[in-house]
Amino acid sequence: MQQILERTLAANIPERIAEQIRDLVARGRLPPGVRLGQAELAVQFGASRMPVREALKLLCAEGIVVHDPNRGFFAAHLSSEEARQLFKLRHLVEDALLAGIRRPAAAELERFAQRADELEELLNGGERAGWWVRHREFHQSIFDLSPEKLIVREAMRLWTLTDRYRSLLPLPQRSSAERTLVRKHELVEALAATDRRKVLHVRAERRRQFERLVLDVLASRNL
Amino acid sequence: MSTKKTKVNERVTSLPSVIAERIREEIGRGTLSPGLHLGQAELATQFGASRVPIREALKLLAADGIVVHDPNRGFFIASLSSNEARQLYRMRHLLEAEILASVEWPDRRRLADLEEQLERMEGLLAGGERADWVHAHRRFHQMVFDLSPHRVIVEEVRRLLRLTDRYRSLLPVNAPRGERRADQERHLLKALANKDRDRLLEHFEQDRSEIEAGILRALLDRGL
Repeated sequence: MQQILERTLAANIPERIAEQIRDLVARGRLPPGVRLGQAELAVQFGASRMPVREALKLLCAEGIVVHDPNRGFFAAHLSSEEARQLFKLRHLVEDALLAGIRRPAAAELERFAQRADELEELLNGGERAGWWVRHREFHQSIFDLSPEKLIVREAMRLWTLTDRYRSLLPLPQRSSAERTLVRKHELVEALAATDRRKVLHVRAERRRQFERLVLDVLASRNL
Repeated sequence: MSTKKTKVNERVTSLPSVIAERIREEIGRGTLSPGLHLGQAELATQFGASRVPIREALKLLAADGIVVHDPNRGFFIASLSSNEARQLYRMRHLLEAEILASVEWPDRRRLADLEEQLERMEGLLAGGERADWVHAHRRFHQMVFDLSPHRVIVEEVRRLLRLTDRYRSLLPVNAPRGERRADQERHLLKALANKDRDRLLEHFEQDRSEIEAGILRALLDRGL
């Protein structure tokens, strides 16, 4: 049993390192274009180079990291051209996904409302890292109401790719346009009313506003 | 398992990616069937590589969902299911329509390239070389996608194509619709030459839904 446990943990090390690098990229700690040295990362994560390399390969498959065979790994660049196309994909895929979600059970709705409150608290406390993780989980749990698991996986992949762009924006601690945008209560209400069109509408509207914010920042930086 | 050199995408350069591409092809051909256990030691011998790049290749395939990893039992070729196939084709339908809407009309040189590719396909069909025809067919569609300036979306479609590829091995080797299938590409080429977007989309959809229907039939016949 112990041996199985150890092997399971060992197999998950690259995935856990990938998760941490994803988080650092999203938070802007690893800015776009920065070189990701395998030796440095190994020291930072207290791991050997093998799992670090595997983690970087996983992130390459996701598009967050790019690999140049001669120069190594880099955090992928951000550009308004890429952002536009990624958002276009998200609009297509998420609209299709949300059109097929099932009605959440009462207990699930309660959980959604709780999560929405938690997100507000994390924002109030300025806890960027925690908010980031929970925010992602919140959307994953809404997508999970769809029976189309493969499309859910693709939607989350695209979500991760656009979420990198969030590192360009400050954490919306005070009331602001973005603060309204990340408030989930309207979405939870639509889910509670089992109003699928409303859910679609709220999600689509928020996504488009987020896209505009990102594109404005990119334009102001000539990216 | 065949070890002949295969054409790889120019982006693919590292050893694990090359190995992954070759495993993908074996799956597409049906020589590695769904559910099969992929022993790292055996693969290392077959590819004449060490176990490290083999493991990396398997991880890459696992990230695509083509291979599944069980921490205790190792790597397996992912099973096929009509449910998954339907979702993959739904994704392709959405994304490919988006690309075709943005395709820039080809100039004379590009049209000539497409014509040449089409003739190659017709030659392969006439010779009954199904496996090579599938490759040439893929290449033709890739050339059409490449007329779109939306590189990010084209790249996503390329990923989805890799995922639906493995389902194509279910189709019979001697599809009886040979002539009709070549006609389909003729129509595509004509639509491009005539700058007729509606026809372009229509023929593309027709071609894809025929393949999808064939795949779903084959899956249902097998109770998948």
